Amino acid sequence: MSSLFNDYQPEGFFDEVFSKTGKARPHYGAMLDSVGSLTPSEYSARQKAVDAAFLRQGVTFTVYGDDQGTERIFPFDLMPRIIPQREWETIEAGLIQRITALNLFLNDIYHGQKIITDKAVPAELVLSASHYRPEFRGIKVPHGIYIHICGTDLVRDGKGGYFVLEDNGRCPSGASYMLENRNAMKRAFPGLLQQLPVRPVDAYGSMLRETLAHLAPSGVLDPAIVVLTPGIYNSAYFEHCYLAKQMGVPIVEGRDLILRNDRVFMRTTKGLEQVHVIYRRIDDDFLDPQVFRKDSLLGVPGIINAYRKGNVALANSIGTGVADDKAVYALVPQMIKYYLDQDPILPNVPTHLGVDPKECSYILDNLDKLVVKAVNESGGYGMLMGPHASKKERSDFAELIKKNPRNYIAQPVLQLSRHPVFVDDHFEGRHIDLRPYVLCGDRVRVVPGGLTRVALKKGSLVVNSSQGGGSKDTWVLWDDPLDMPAETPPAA
Amino acid sequence: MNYRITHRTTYVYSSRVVVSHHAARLRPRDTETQRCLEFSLSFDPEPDLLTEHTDSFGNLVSCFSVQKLHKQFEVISRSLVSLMPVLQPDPLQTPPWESVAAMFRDPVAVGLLDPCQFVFGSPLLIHEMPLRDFALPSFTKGRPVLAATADLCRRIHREFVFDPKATTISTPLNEVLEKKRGVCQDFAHLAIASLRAMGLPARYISGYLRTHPPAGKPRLQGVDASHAWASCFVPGFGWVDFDPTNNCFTSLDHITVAIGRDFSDVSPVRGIITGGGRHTVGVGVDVEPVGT
Amino acid sequence: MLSRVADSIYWMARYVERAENLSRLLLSTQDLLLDAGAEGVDEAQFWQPLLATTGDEEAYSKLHKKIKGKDVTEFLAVRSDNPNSMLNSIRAARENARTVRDQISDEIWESLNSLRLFVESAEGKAMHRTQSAAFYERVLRGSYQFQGIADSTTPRGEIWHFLRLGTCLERADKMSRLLDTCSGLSLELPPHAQARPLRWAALLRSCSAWHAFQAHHRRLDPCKIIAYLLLDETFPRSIACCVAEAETALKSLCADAGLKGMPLPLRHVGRLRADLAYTTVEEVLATGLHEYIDDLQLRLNQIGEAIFQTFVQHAELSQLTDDDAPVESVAPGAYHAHADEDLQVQQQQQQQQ
Repeated sequence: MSSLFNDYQPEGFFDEVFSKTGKARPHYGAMLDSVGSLTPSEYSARQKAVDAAFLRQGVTFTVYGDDQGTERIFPFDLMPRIIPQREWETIEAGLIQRITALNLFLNDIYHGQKIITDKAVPAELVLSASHYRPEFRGIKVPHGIYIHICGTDLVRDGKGGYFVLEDNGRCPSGASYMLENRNAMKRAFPGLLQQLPVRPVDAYGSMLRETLAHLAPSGVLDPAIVVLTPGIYNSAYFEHCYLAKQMGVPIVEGRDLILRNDRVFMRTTKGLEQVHVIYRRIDDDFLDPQVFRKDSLLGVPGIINAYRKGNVALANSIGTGVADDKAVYALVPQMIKYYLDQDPILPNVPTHLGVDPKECSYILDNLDKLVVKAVNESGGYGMLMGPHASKKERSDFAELIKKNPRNYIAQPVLQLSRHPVFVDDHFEGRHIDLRPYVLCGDRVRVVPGGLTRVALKKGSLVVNSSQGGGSKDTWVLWDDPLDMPAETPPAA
Repeated sequence: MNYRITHRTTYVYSSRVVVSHHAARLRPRDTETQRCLEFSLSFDPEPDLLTEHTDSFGNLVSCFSVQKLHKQFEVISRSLVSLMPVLQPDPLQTPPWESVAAMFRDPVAVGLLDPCQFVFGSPLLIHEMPLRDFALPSFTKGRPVLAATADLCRRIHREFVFDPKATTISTPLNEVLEKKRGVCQDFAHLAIASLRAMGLPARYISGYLRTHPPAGKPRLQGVDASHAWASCFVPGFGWVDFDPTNNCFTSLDHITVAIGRDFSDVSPVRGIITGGGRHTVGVGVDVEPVGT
Repeated sequence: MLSRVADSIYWMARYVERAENLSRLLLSTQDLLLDAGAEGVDEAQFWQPLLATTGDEEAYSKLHKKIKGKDVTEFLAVRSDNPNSMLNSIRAARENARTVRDQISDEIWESLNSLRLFVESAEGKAMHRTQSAAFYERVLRGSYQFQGIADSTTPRGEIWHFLRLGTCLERADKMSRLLDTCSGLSLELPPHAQARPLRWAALLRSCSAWHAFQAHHRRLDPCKIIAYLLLDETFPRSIACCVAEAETALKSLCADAGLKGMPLPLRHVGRLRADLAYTTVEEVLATGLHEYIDDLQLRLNQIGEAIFQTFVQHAELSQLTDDDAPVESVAPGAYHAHADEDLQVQQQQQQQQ
């Protein structure tokens, strides 16, 4: 084995690269030869070059807290995470199954509510979700699809099994980093990418565009698509802009759009131009001040009426938050059973619901062993990592749970799999997860790869960028390059 | 009892408005004890666009846009409504509140899915407020649900002062609770949030209240106002409306216009304008009894 | 193109030009002080015109009682509580670039982003403290780089024209203010060819016109200098040249937008160009340089407003007739130094999962 990995220790965790006995897993062979042959200073020079390029190009996210909104690069670790073909096929099938069930669920919840009346899931849990929007029941959405873009978080436990940690069905972010990470790898390790059958991810832009175009009102052959951003102060503004550019569509703010005759137009230097599909990255509550929050400065008054009439399509649709509520998450296996009559291919992490009095007291009794999460938060906020928390943090959290048990769930602490990450001048193991991106248009597609997020702090299990997380490129390898599926389907 | 109702909403802007969008919920509902016999809207200036739909709570929503420059805008709704006496169950004969709350833990089994959507938090009434403590004295062990609600209604009426200056549309409930002052909207919200804190469904009703002129004086026009009250659910009977502002169950004086989870679902006229600067709104309601 | 994008591109170019002008002005004033050399010179006399040029006398006097070189340079260059400072201009240019990243070349974006990273960096701040001239030169180079990259990477369409409009109108505005600071000086011809009236020489330097002017004229004749900077269409920083270029850009924009007849901005800019072309410096001086410039500035502002109305407010104003008073502006516009806080907070609130 090469020198760079000589002292590397899996330390008893499930390691993506090395087995328990310290032997390299076969799909990492070629990469270890190539990366391992570098000296620490060569490796770190490449790492620095990539960081500098990210900063110069503004591949950044915004950290809130001071008036200027500091922009930081999303820390990037050069050594890619590799997923072999067989594993990927399971992940892909599992994600397609899951998103299909979630969309059937949303369509049902916003129409007949059969899953509730058939008692396949408890009514109270669904109807009490704070992102459930009864006022939207009965509205027809294009093709009955609610979640068009989903970012599902997967983790592996101590034995290497894949689990779904959460579904992000409102405004999942990070796809731009997946694309930029690959670009960075192309510059840092061009030879390696040539040598290995790595499935490309760069079709994401055109896939996203096709997914959105599929939603266009019928009869519109060449729909005008836009990305609706909150604006430059939003943490993910870089991504909004990047995706718009990848798709070749305008990025707009709410104030660029205006309603005329229940149709949406953008204001251009040459007058008004109609918009047919909006990839919106603002919350439901801010979309339309006439319907939701009156004080919204980001929305477009009247847009909901246009949506109701079918004159404009929104992706994702309104009210999808009920499906990624962390308590409703616990019901996804039942949904898969109910709608598809299948067993879940990707299992859930066992979840205790605060709303159930028995489970709630279990949670309160075992706070030191559990991860507790607020049901509607993301980004690592509103979370208690029981075993790592102080006594005071735990008792504060217990108060919150008692006050509003519906708002909390708890899960056992998983020993997430680890991956070597370059630290100073050597590799150390760090916990990771995986967020693949699922697109739901005329069919469900999963981009082969995704964002591997890394908890950069030693021992930490929190991978979110806002909490000191970083990322890696994710390589899905095909065993036989000749069999590799085409990434972009031929145009219809 | 029949009423002819005129509801006038006038906006005056300090500078010209380029485009305005409004959504109105002004058509009185048809309920078991109420029929809306006539309804019409008139505008000045005429909107360029007028559409209607029924929202998921059954209210008729009229959306209209004025797309030419204007400095004021007026919408008038006129309706003729017929009211029948409301039958009230005997509060003491209603089931204990705990058993009602229990039903809503498994609403499908007892066929109560529809009222179930009024058990949880809603846009203006988030669940975390300490309202259970406020409600608890009324919800003593085993007390019939309607009797408990009536007591809650009485307490709100007794402990709170009607004071139009104390609150605005956006005053949060805990402030109302602190100041012990507010208007009909606040009291309705307070009652609803309290019921929900006990695990019971509650709805918000917007409508009109007929005012009785002092004896010997003629009825003045336009002095009536939009009103709001609440509604609780009694299994085996249905929704029972009560008015915490006036400490009563509703009767032939209460005309129901729209029903929702809280004020945000039913606001009579809601508008968004482009341009216009500052604006002032004038509202005039006239509820005139007519011979049947 | 989106109206907001047009406005942002226009302002991006204006802010870059603003930062560039400020650098040059600070550099030439420092030089002037060195040239003046003699001890006991009243510093304030040299720095005060700078504050006048940028229109920040009042804001400055709120912060400092006395006009001192160190305070003025710091105020104009790096203070973040001065919305017109070089630092804030570069920030604003970069933020506008950020809002239109998908429209401009990566190279333009990276050049502005690097410039901002520099002026905000500890290195940049230290440089301004210890060797301010090098700092200003770095900003100047950044602006030249921006102009060069823009020139070689921007297709000659709407984006280009809005870029040029921003640059030219900002340049014309700053040039007019600069000329105005000299309106009180003596117009006497210097006694001999070698004589260099310091202030007039500094004026030429501060608009990089020294060599160009000297190529034409032996003496630093103040009247000729005024004519050169105001009326000579051949010199790229002269007001006449800027106005001529703005007219060219506006003609293309109006044609592209299919505007019929004589659109308002074109009318204003065309008239101004004709006036500048057919006015002699003697006429200017007869009116009074200061009075002439006052009027000129009004007309430049008028052009800016007409551009905004025509291309940005368009949608609202399509129903307006000429007699109507303008509608309060509601159109989406560019990023400026102090943004709306509520808007900022709401933008941040949007949950990105």
